[in-house]
Formats: sequence, C-alpha cells, structure tokens
Amino acid sequence: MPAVATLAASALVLGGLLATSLGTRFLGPFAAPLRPLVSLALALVALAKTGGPSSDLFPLLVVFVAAETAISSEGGRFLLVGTYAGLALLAVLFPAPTAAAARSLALRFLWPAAAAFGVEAVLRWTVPGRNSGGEDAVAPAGTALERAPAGPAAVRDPRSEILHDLKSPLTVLRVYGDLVAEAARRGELPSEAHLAGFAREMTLMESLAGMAPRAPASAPASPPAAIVAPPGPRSDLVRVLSTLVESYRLAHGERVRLEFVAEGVEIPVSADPVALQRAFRNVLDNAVKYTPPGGQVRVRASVVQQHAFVVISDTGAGMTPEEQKHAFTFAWRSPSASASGVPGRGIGLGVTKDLLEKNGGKISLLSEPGHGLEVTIMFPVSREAGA
Amino acid sequence: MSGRIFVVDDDPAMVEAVAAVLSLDGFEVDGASDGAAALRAVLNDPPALLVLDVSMPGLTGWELCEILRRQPITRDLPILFLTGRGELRDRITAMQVGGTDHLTKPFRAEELRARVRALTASGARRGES
Repeated sequence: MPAVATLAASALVLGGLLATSLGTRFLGPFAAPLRPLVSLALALVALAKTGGPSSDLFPLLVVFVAAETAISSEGGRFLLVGTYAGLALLAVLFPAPTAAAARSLALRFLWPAAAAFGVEAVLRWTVPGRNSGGEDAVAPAGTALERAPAGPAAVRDPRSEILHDLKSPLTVLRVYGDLVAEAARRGELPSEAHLAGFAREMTLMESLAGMAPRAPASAPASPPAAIVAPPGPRSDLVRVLSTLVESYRLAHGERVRLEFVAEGVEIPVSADPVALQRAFRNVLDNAVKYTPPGGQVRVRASVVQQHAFVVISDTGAGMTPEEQKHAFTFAWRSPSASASGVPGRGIGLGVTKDLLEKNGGKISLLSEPGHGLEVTIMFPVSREAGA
Repeated sequence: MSGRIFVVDDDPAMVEAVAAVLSLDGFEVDGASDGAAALRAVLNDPPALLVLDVSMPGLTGWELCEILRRQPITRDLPILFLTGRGELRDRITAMQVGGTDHLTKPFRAEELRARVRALTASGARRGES
C-alpha cells in the first residue's frame, strides 16, 4: 500500500471530522446526530482507497469509527487530530524513496493512539455511568437536542456544579426578598406566604451549606417561620412519586427501566410536598446516574402499620460499607464515584437526609458492592389519612 | 392585566415563587414541575404565556418547546425560558428551539414581571391583528 494512499485516506477522514465538528458548532445541536454517520461514510471511502480489509490501515480505521461513534470526547478528538498531524509530518520528513519506512514508523505512532481509544471505548461501555456525559447526555434519543448542553457539563468543575445547584434556591430567595421589599416600599406588611417561602429557602440554603438550621436567628424578623415541618402540609406519596417516576422514565426510559409500584391509591404523609419532591429527586438522580444501561430502578411505596415506606432500589454499582458510612456527609464523594466519571456534587444525599428529617422522615441505605443500592425512606402516616 | 400563565420548573419552589410574583400582577398562574405533565396541560388548554425551565429531569424545556412549536394550537404561544446557565450557547439554543425570550437565574422579580408584561402584551397584539 503506497504511503500516498495512506496519507490521502487519513487526510480525508481528518478533513471530514473537522468539517462535521465545525458543522456542529455553526449549525447548532441539530447537526450532532450527523457526525457519526459522516465519519462512518468517510472511513468507508478511506478503506476503499487503502486496499480494504487487507490494508495496514484497516484495523486502525475500525477502531477510529468505533471511537468516534461511541465516545467522541474532546480529549479523544485531540489525540486523533494529533496522530493524523504526526502522520502528515512523517510523510513530509520521509519523502517517496523511504515511503515504506515512513509508513511503518507512522503506523507505530498511530497504534498507541488506536489502542488508547480502544481502552477508553471499552471503559465507557463497561464502567457504569461512564458513558453519560452530563445531565442531558441521557435525554431521549432521536431528538435533535440529544447532546445539546452536554459538552461543558461533562468536564465541569465540581464547584460550578454546586453553584449551579444553588441557583434555584438562590433565585427563589431573591424573588421572595424582592416581593417583601416591594411590600415595604408600599408601606404594607409583607405577605405571610412570601415570608414562608423566604424562610423555607433559607433553611434549604443552610442545609446546602452544611449548617444546622437555627430558625429564630436566621429567619426574617417578622412572623415565626414554622415552615419546614409545620403541622399543616400534607402530601400524597403516590402522587408525588408517580409524577416523578413518569418524568424520569421519559428522560431515561431508553437507558434504564423505571418501575413504580404503590400499595394503595393514596399514601398521605405530613410533609411539605416541595421538600419531598426535592428529596426524592436527589435519590432518583443518583439511582439513574449510577445504574448502567439496561439496568433497572424500582420505586415501591407501601404502608406497614403506621408507617409509609418508599424503597428506591437500583441495579447499579452499589456502595461499599465505607461508602455507606460517608454517604450522608456533605460534599463527600466516594473514590469509585469520582473515578467513574459520573458528574456529581456529593451534596445530594446529605441534603436529602436533612430535608426528610425536617419533615418527619428517615432515610437509610442497604447495599453490597456490585449488587445495587436500596434506599429506604420512612414516614409516619398522616393521622388525618382517612379524613 | 390578566390572562393565564403556565409555569414549569422541576423545582416546585421555583414554580411557587414565579406564581407569587405574577399573581400580584393579576395573572392567573398554573404550574407543573415536570415536562410531561406540563405538555398535557398546555396542549389541553393553552395559556397566554408559558414560563419554562430548561433543565428538568424528564422532558427538558428545550424538547418541550420543540414539541409545542410543532402543534398548530401552540405554534405562536409566547415562551419565556428560565435558564440556569446564561452562556451564549444556551441562549442561542433557547431561540433555536422556538423560545420567545429568556431569563437567566438568578433573576429579579422586577425583571420577570417586565418580561412577562412585554410578552403577554405582544401576544395580545398578535391575537388582535
């Protein structure tokens, strides 16, 4: 096989890769699904030009196509562009008379890169969650937006993850603060509902900051902020969970099987529905994130005597006893979770526990490494259940 | 000022907070904290304006917007996106999928109110013409 053909084929694949990357950048996320197809077509053309399966380049191109289709990470692309550039440089340094030597040298350079891709691709598919690049990487397939916001999320700094998570309660705090200030400017008393919202978000922020809530000191000066576990709020576990599971199924149903079983039409508990939603979302987020493709997440809600139980189990990697010990510690991430590449903040379960306990609930974990995780959440059943 | 506004955010506290602001302006506010429920409700009875969070665990705001834009009944519905990340790419995507306007979190009550007023007024104008 002449070195010229190798070079031409490499240039073709590289050019196609760059063109489709630029296309993705300028045409927006809509071009993303086209990229693997274009790469595949270019690789086939390159193969035909280099002598088909008998060519030295054949295994390399196979690995390339697999890597491009399966991972297409920034680092991988950099490596690929680097090796092709190295190949071109070698061809310049060793012109025609030593073409054969140049080719063998070039292939020696290319093979380590190909092997690195191979290893990365295998890791992506075998290590749970490694394939998911970010919160949106597992959005429903077939949508033009499939990969839209995934890029920066995949390598996001943990601090920015935490800040991102704080934006919602901060915004809510800001909005209620604005409303209270507006009332003051009009010379009116602030609405109790607005103060209640303000105090509730303050409590959540304190949980996120790992502070023990001190209601009297931290709440605004006016009405007592009996917000988090007042006698009033009631939630129906069945309603909250079925809506949540349905929405997770929409997002992740193609990757992970989500099942919800409730023993009863309604399971009323004395808990704030907002806090409940947030707590369950944190647990479900984790379950879905750490369950590999094809796995299952089950949510069961039942009542035993005076207690309501919600058990969320998954078929993910599970936790070691050491990991379980620290699971509720703020900002602690297990070494295996960090190594898995699954984006996470390590604040989820700690905050979940806080939210649940302030609403009369309890949370516990049961797991064996490799056999999934079972999270049990317990509430006393609301006394006015039948009312 | 009147009309019905539908608010979708996966954080129910955010739905409540937005509703608190807008109801002071005389709007009737409904909400949902997941995309699927929002889609059903909005198609069933289109509001005057949809306030839509981008990152939700089920249908994302962007996907929901794309779906709504394909339905005749919601093709012209004004949609205000609430984005967590105010990066250029996110703002452009919000427009590409058919969003009418966007607001980056954290936002101020006054700004939310101003944008909603502008959007509902232009929606009303479109309806009259």
